Amino acid sequence: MSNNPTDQFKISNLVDIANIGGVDIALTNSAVFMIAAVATISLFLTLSTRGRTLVPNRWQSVAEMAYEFVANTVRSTAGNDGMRFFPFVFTLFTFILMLNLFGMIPYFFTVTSHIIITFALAMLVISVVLIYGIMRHGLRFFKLFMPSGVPVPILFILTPVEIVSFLSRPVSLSLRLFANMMAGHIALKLFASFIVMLGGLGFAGMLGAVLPLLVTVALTALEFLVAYLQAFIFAVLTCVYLHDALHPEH
Amino acid sequence: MSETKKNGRSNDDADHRLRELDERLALQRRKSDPAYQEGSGREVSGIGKAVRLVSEFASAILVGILMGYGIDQLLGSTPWGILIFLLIGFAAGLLNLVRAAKRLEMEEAGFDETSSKDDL
Repeated sequence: MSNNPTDQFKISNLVDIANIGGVDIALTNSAVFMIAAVATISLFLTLSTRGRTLVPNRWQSVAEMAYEFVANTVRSTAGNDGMRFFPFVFTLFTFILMLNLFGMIPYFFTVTSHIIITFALAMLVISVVLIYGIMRHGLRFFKLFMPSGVPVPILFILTPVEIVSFLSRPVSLSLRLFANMMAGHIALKLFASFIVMLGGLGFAGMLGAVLPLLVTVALTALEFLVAYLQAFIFAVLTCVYLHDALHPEH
Repeated sequence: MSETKKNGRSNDDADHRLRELDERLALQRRKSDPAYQEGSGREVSGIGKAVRLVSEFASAILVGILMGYGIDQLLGSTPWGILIFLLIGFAAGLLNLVRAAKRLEMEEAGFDETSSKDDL
């Protein structure tokens, strides 16, 4: 392991598959962890709900809690008709949560610390909002950019502002998740390498290393919280944007 | 006459006791509400809140600058696109901020009462 705090984000090709027109197609460590996350979630949900007892056992109640938690979030944020998007939101939430938690295991790769991944997820959300909104409301969907009850001269200023605000959603959605995960992992790596560096300086150094050790322990706990919180915020904001697709009139 | 008076008094008594119970219940509820609890969890969520708000603001300005730059490249109107869209991005950022702050407030008020967030 090197001491460079950004080395942990390096993508490496594990299995080369093809090279089409100069574009390298390979199974990367990022892809492996995404597959592992999907496999873990599927396996966990299938096995834990296999019994389907009325009084749930431990595993089944974890699965039920996850379901109810996301269902409550969707209902309270997107409304009852937002429940048609429940599978979408649940998939996003569990996928991001699992990727974030995988990143907390030493030597594991943090997929969500790459902005292209988070941006792709955010674009998926915004595409669903746009396509569903236009499918369901037609051109009335664009009333989203024209708040009702505003005088016409003001609309000329407000409409571009609303459009930029709408376009900034995927950016802020992806930036937030990516920045949180990357900053957290860099901070963890930095403080952890301080321990090693100080520890190499003899007895006084070892005494000094206690401080970064404490910080690392605290940061690890904080990072677990951030891993969960960021997945939750992503799901909540997805629901808020889906609410716009369902009810474009403000 | 004395009968009704007695009844009334006992009703008053029951009302009084009920009100007292209400107050005690409200106190307990407030104590167990995580939003009212002090401690490290609060600070952490404070940082989280700050990051959320900052990303809302910064992303709108970023999108504004990118749009302005793109329009300048297409139309060759060099400083004007970026200038105007930077301002629009700033306004959109403020709009995002206000909405995000409203959302945060509602989340803190509790998820049960947020079914009527039509103005978001």
